[in-house]
Amino acid sequence: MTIKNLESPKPYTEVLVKYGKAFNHKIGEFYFDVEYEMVKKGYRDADVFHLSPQNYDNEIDKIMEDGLVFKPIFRSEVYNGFSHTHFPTKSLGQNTMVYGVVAKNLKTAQLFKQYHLGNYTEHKEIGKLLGYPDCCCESFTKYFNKSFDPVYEPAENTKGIKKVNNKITLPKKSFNEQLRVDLRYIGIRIIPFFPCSYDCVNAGKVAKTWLKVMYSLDEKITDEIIEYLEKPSVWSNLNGQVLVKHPDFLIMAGGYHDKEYKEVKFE
Amino acid sequence: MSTILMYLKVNCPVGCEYCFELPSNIKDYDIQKMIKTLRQIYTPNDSICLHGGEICTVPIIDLENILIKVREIINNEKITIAAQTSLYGYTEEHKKLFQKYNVSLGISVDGPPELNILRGPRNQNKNEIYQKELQKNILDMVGERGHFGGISILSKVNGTGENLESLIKWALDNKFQGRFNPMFIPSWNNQAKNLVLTPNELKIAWLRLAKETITNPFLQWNPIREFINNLLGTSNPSPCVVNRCDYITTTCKTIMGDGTLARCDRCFQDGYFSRGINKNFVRSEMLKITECKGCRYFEICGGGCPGEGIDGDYRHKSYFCEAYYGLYEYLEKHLRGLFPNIILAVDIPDYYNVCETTGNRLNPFAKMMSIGQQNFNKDLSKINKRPLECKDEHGDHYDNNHYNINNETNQIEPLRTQNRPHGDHYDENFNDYNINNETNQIEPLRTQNRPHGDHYDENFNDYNN
Repeated sequence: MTIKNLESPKPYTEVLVKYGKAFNHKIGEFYFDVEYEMVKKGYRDADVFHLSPQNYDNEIDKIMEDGLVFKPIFRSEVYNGFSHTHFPTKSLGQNTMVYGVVAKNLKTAQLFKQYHLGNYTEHKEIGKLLGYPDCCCESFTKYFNKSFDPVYEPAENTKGIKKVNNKITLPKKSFNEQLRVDLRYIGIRIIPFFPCSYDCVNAGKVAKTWLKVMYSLDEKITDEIIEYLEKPSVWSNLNGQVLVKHPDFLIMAGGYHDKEYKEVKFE
Repeated sequence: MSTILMYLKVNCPVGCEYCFELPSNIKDYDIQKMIKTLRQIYTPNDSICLHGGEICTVPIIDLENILIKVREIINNEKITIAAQTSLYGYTEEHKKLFQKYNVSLGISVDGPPELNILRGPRNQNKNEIYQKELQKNILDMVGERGHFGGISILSKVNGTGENLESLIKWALDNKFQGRFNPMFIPSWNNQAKNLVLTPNELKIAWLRLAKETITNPFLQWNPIREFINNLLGTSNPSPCVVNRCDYITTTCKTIMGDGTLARCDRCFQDGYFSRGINKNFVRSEMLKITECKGCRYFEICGGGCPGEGIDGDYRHKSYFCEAYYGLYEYLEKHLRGLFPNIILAVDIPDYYNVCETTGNRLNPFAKMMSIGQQNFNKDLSKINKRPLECKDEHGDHYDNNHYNINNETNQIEPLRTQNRPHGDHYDENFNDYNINNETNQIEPLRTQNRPHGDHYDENFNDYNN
């Protein structure tokens, strides 16, 4: 068995807050609203959506009121914490959800579903429908072949980094903090995609739009997110587990198998 | 079942060379808040240990206050409260107080004065006075009780060559009962790292201690006795470091001075004390298919203490892997040499899931007993009834018995599961079962959580016949 074929850990995310500090758990929920709002406000064509069988009436009602459409793609088991994959199931009960897409029109939703369920997932096309820059859609296709959680690869592609073995350090001014994806396990992020690099200009432009929408929804939480992103952290993946050391908290989450320890330090 | 550490005072005046607490991160204690948290989390199977810094430097009035409240919560005078101490500042007042509230002391001491030099004040004169008083107090305890319980940390100072022999002689002379732990150095303490034994040195030390232990039934030296039990599968793997301790929640719970509930103090090295809610087995599951793949003893090791992870990373297996493996290997050979038909935990595929997580117990002697059962007299067979009657579970492996079947209900019964804690304290109750005089049945005793690290509970007998 190669390392790539090894079973990933069950999804989990834990945040352990530094002694004497507090963490606002509403941040995690907030970002779901932001992603939806970006479609509603016409900044992008589609968004993935998890429809809960226990709340489908309210959710469908909201989607229709907002002038959007929902198209189911498959049923999945519900999981707790951060996951790199879904767990398709045939049943529909308490512990299941419907993975699908919300879009501004049916044609876009159908296209999205088609890219998803084809012979292989068309990441590049899906990325475009989700409003991601071309360069980042392109790179993601490559990165995803190496890792389910490509935090390390964009760092490799960033100018001005220091790299020793598999440890990458990004000096403070070498990257755009708004493009960081190392804290997203607990909802701390501005962009919802993996940038091709942490200094990507195109991703930076997209980030500005997202930030605008975030501020329109909740100024306080957005400021909190920015504050976290401005602080240094060390992300690493080892034995299928991700660990992020941040001055305010420790994040532990399911990672991916890799033969080697990988580390990214945002200064 | 957990070990609950009450972190009364961490701003410790003692100054041991390899202390792994980080006092600057920890606030002073508030007894009311600590007790409030204890009240919320305590269950009757938990064991409580006063810990953190040096409890004998806590004002007597506060110490009594907290003992009164802990006693109220435990609500059972027979259950002891543990306390781990280096005896720094220990007085007659402490002695009386601990007797009054049924507190059993675990002494942190690394051998005779010349080998205990890493403990105590760093000032030479003060250290000499401390060592002298400590040895005197130990002698008093041995005089009163015939033994003393504690934790001895193995390091470069006492863990090799002639010094190890001196440590053993001292332990035998002083009737030491307890634990020989490897030194744990937090990632921030670079100065003390050269004091840590190499895995090979620890292995040699443990094997030497094992040689002594298995030829002397009086000695309750750990982890040797615990590892024998782990091989026999008679209780949950113990100490906690081999029982799938999860870095997110940890087996051990710590109540901080301000009442915050934290993880095991070995996790404090990174400054993130808080604990997760749900125990998960991800670390051990991942180690099983990576670094520990194919290891003969993985099921009763689980990769060891996350705090001891290689390079200070909990996701790695323990730095001391070689020692864990070596000790298990040595003990397995001896057990099989004595009992060729014995069934050990390592004989059961996926043992941890099959037995430990379900609470079912292995009967290591089932095969031998079934061979000789016809020779048993009536009374003896009655005594052994429960562990003998088990379910044939593992087809092509050993067709032996890992479960109990209740004769009345015909149900498989989980046998008693006992959580043995780890690290830095020690509970020396070494009898887990009782034979009920009326029913002649083997009964589990009170499930007492056996803690780890740096304390030691010196109740020598946990019988109630």
